[in-house]
Amino acid sequence: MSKEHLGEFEELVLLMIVLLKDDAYGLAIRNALKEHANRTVTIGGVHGTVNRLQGKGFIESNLGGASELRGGRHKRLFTITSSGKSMLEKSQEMKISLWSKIPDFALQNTKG
Amino acid sequence: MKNRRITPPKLSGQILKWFVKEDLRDEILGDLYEYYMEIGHKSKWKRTILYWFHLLNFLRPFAIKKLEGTQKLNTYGMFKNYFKVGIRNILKYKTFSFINIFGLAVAMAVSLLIILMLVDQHQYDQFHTKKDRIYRVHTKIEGSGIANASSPFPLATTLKEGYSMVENATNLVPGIGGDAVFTVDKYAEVRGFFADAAFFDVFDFALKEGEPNTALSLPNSMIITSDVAYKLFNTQPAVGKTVNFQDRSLGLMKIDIGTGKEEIAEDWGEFVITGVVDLEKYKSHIDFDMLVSAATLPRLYREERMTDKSDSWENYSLGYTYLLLEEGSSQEQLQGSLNELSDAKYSAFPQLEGMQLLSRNLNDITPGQFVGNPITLRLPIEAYYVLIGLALVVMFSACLNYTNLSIARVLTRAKEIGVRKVNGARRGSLIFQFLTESVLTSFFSLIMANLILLLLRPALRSLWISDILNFDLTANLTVFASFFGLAMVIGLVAGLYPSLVLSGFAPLKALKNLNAEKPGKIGLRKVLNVTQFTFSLFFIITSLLIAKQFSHIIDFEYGFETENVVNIPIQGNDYQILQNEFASVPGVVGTSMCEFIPALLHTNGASISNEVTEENLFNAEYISVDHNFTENMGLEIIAGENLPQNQTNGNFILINEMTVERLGFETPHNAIGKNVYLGGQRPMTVKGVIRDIKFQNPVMGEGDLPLILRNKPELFSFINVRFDSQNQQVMKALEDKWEVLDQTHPFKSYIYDEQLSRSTKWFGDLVAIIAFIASLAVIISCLGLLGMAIYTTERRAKEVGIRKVLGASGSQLTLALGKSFLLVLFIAIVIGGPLSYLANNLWLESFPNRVDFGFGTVIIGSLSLFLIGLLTISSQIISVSRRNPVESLKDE
Repeated sequence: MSKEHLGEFEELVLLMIVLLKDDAYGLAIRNALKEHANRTVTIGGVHGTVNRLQGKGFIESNLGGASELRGGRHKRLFTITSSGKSMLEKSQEMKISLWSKIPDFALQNTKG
Repeated sequence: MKNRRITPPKLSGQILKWFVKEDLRDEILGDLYEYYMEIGHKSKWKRTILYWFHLLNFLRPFAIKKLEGTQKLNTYGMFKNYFKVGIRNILKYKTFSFINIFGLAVAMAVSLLIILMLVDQHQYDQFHTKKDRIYRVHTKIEGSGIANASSPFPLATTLKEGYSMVENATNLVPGIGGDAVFTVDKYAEVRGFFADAAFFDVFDFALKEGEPNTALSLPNSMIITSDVAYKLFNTQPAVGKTVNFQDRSLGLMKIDIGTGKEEIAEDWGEFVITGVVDLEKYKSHIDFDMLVSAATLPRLYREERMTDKSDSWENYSLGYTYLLLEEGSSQEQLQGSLNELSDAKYSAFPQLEGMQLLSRNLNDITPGQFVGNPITLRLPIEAYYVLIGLALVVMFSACLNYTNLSIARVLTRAKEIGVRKVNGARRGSLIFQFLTESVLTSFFSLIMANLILLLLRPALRSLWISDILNFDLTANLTVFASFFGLAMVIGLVAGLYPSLVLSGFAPLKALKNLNAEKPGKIGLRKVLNVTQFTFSLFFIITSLLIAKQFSHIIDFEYGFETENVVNIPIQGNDYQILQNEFASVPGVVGTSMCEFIPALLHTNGASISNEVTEENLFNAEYISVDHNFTENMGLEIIAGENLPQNQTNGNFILINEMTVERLGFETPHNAIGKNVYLGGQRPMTVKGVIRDIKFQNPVMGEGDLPLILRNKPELFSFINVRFDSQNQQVMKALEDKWEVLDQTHPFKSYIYDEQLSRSTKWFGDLVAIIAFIASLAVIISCLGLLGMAIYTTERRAKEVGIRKVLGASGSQLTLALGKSFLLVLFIAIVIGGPLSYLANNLWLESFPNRVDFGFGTVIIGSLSLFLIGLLTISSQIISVSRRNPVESLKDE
């Protein structure tokens, strides 16, 4: 059992960081969330979450290149750590195993 | 070609710099910049809003600078230190802190309660959008100290038509109250006003059902409250339904102590419901169950159900005039016009010369100055001044405790202050430190006060007066803000003096003279203690006196037999049938009839003289009773005989000794058979003389009044049934009898003794309130005294030890230690005793039916204060003087 828990939104952000590969920084993650997951959040919201993820040790960061587009300021680029990777995998496995345990008819009779 | 560079607002960088952690600033600014570029296609104001939205969204814990440790925020660190030291000090001296916190909390709870009351009262009539322009016109007759809330009938119309500054005016006419009957079992007791169509223009009561513009314009229409509508029609729509109204001349105020006169119901005809107002939603001083259209009045005049006073200027107690002033007009201008008007109208009435018409803004009605003839009973603002005054005294006493104990602890704190000063603390910072401590104490008290308040609130609600005053003591934001402010102010006030004194020590002196016995402030501390106890003594004596007055009223001897009597309103039934039927009930000893119940709040005066005259008249109480009354109520006939059984031949009366004397007869026997003249005109023959009884309620006066009894059956409205107290079934049997005789009206009965005690109950409430505040004052002073006793005896423990070793006895030591405290108590008694004697005599003078206020009460009060004080300090002093001297001397 890992002592750190991965929240739903945290998991999404983590996946976006993996998806964005070498260019995962605050605003880019926000835009990716909007595009791929249909979630609109503030930039501050993303920063807060990555800050938390870093605190849990699922991602690490280093300062990236500054460009004119950013008013000459650095960006913080995030990459996933091995513990973050295993956390993602574990989360996926758990869901698959859960789905496999649900019999087909259980969902058929739900309303709406 | 234009290629203007778009850049985010410059200010943003500054703001981020101010609140965001340094190592995050760069990336955040970068992201925001990029975002701003990204949304470049949007309009400028949209861009700005979005940008700032995202920027301010960084106000999150992870991004905000930690305040600690940064050099620029040194004051924060100091404040934190003060806070810590304050808490530690409070925890270290638990006894003293408890005394301070508890004392302040008790005083605060009382203040909080008063704040709650005041906030509640200030919420009245705030829903009217034009409230600042609404005025009520008051009348004040020459020589009277109090204005009346009521005003003459034609005033509203005159103002509306004759004065351009008056936008609108409405007249509320009381005098309608009875039962609205829909069907036999669907009826409701309703009280209210006649109101004109302008009512809904001046006030902002919204109608839940019905059309405000037309609801009051047609005759025989009626607006009712949701409560009444529910009673009559349940959840069905009320508008359009017709009810029958039975007037019983009920007053506006719903105080039912079963007194006064029971009026016979009169059928006022059919009324159409034209509106329903949910009065629960509105907090207004205007309280009603129904509003009847003023257009109905002419019909009622015609049918002689009411007297037409619509053109009467001399009758100023018939209605209430509310007017809406034009925007831009001032109250001064209005007053000018009112003065003009009163001069013009009242010059014609010599007896009303000097009559004033005054205006009062709607905001100043509840709470407001005391007025006669009010619409609803509320505590006048003067009562709040008294309550606030009492609370301030208690509060002051609690603050004195704090000051006193803090200064007493000077020696303990001197070392700390010295060290702080040597290390460079300025006086200002020390003052700030001590104030922090006192404000902290005050906030702890606030928490405790809120707990006390939880207990106090239901106690206040259970008082009889709260039913009438109708307080809503729920907290809201204003309340919390004022609580907070109160705690802050109290903390500052309590801590101000100690902080100034403590911070003023010279550091060297403070460090050097650690064992100086006298800090030089003992004189002042004694003065403070004496002040507290003087107040306490004053409160004790006052409450003793009021309690004495109360018990005097409770044990009032009426001079006739009130026990085992039940008074039953006959509600329009034939009294002879009722009397016969009730007399046959087993357990009934006797029955009699009367017009109203003596010694309750209803009175009925008549002028009388022994000659035909218009001048030599005097006022006597005048009541109709049957010939059984004297025997049934235990009135003693000392001359002549009883009233005849029926009054067919001649007008016979009974009078009492006092009337005999006032009429100028030598002896009661001389009066028998003589003619006296009611109103100086109608001759009456004196049939008999009864011994004097107390006919008046003890709260209203001495009770001794000239009295006339007459047998006039058409006025009978109560039957007095004397019953055998051993027989438990009487009440039930009477009720059963009633239900057979009268199927429409429910049976009502009032035990006479209960009625009498209820009519004086408000006085009991007053006793309870004053006694409560007195005990608070005493508790707080005693706590202060206890604190001082603990402190001084602890400091003198060594002295006691040495004295003991040298051979002093326990009792000698007790005396030596207690001397200074006894002196404090003694001085307080010497000052407070005579002072409270004088002050209490002032109000007692104006009180009817008063007790003798001798020095006895002062002495009892002083003695009890002395004993309480003695008890408080004795345990501490005795335990110190009994202590083994080795314990206090061993460690030096």
